[in-house]
Amino acid sequence: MEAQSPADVQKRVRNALRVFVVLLCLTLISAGSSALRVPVLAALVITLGIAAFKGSLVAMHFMHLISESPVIYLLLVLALLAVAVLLLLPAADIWLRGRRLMSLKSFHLFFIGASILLSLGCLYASVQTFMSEPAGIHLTSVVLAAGFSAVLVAYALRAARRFRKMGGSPDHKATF
Amino acid sequence: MEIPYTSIPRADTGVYNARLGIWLFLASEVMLFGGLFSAYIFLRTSDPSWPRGSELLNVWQATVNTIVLIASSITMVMSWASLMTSSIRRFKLFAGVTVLLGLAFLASKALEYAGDFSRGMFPATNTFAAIYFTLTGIHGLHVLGGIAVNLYLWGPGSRMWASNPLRFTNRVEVAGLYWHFVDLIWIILFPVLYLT
Repeated sequence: MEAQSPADVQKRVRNALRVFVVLLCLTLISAGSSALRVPVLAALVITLGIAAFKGSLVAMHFMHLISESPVIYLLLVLALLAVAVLLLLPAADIWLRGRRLMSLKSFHLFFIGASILLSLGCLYASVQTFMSEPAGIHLTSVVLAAGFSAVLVAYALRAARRFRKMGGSPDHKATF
Repeated sequence: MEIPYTSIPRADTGVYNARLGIWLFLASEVMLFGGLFSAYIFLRTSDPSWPRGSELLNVWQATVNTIVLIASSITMVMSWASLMTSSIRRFKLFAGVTVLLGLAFLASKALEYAGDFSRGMFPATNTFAAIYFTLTGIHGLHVLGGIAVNLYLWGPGSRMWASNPLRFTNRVEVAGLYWHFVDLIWIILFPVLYLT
C-alpha cells in the first residue's frame, strides 16, 4: 500500500466511479449490437474491440496498472508472450494446414540451433556471475555451459554433413 | 519467524511481497485462460457450422451478469478506500455487498445453466456447448474462490484490522486485484460466447 492522503483516495474513488459508468455504457452498447444482426466478422470486430477497451479500463484503473512497479510489467509481458505463443501455435496450424512448412531435416537443424543459442546464453550468464563472484561453483557452471555448447556445435556440424550426404532420400523429405 | 515485507515494499521489487505474489498468480491465470481462449479459437475456426452464441444463449441475462460483476468491482474499490480512510464499518458494508453481488452472479449463472439444460444443451451436445460450459464453469469457480476470500476478509480475517491495519488493508487490496481480474475475464468471455 503506497502512502496516500485521503484526498488521493477520494480522487481514486471518483475516477473508479467514472470508469464504472463508461463500462456500463459500453456493456449496453455491446449487448445492443447483438440485436442488430450484423455479419459475424463485423460482430467480432465490434464486440471484441469494445471488450478489449473495457478490459484495458479495468486493468489500468481498477488493477492500478497505470502506475505499477516495473517488476509487475515484466511479469505481465512474460505471461502475455506465453499467451501469444499459445494463440500463435493453433493459428500457425490452421494457416499452414496442407502446406509444406519445413522438412524434418530443417526442423532438426533449427532445433539444434535454438539449443546452441540457449546454451551460449547460459555460458554468458555463467561467465558474468564468475567474474563478479569468482567461486568454485560458478567456475563449474562456466565449464559445464562451455562443454554443452561445444558438444551441441559439434553435433550440429555432424548432422549438417550427414543431411548433405543423404540428399534426396524420400524418407527425409517428410514435412513437419 | 516474522514474514518480511508484508506491509512495506521491498527495495528491489518496489512492491510488498503479497502484491508481487498475487501478480505472479495472475500471470499464471493469464496463461490458463490464454490456453483456453486458444482452444476456443482453434475449435471455432475448425468448425464451418459454428453457431452464433446470441441465438443459443440468453444475451440479456448475461448482460445483467456483466453489470453485476462490474458493480462488484466498484464495491471492491470502495471497500479498499474505506480502509484507507480508516473506516472498518464502511469496509464491512462494501465488502459484504461485493460478496452478495458475487453470489448473485453465481445464482444467475446457475439459473442460466438450468435453462440451457432444459433446452437440451449439455456439454456433450456439440463443440460450442463444450467450450461454453468449460470457459464459464472455470470462470464460475474463480468467482467462487473470490467470494470465499472476500467472505474471510469480511468475517474472521477482519480481526487483523485491530492489530495490524496496514497489513489488513494490503490483504484487501490484493484480494481486490484478483477480483478485478475475474471481472476482466468475464468482460472478454461475454462477447466471445454470447455476442458473436
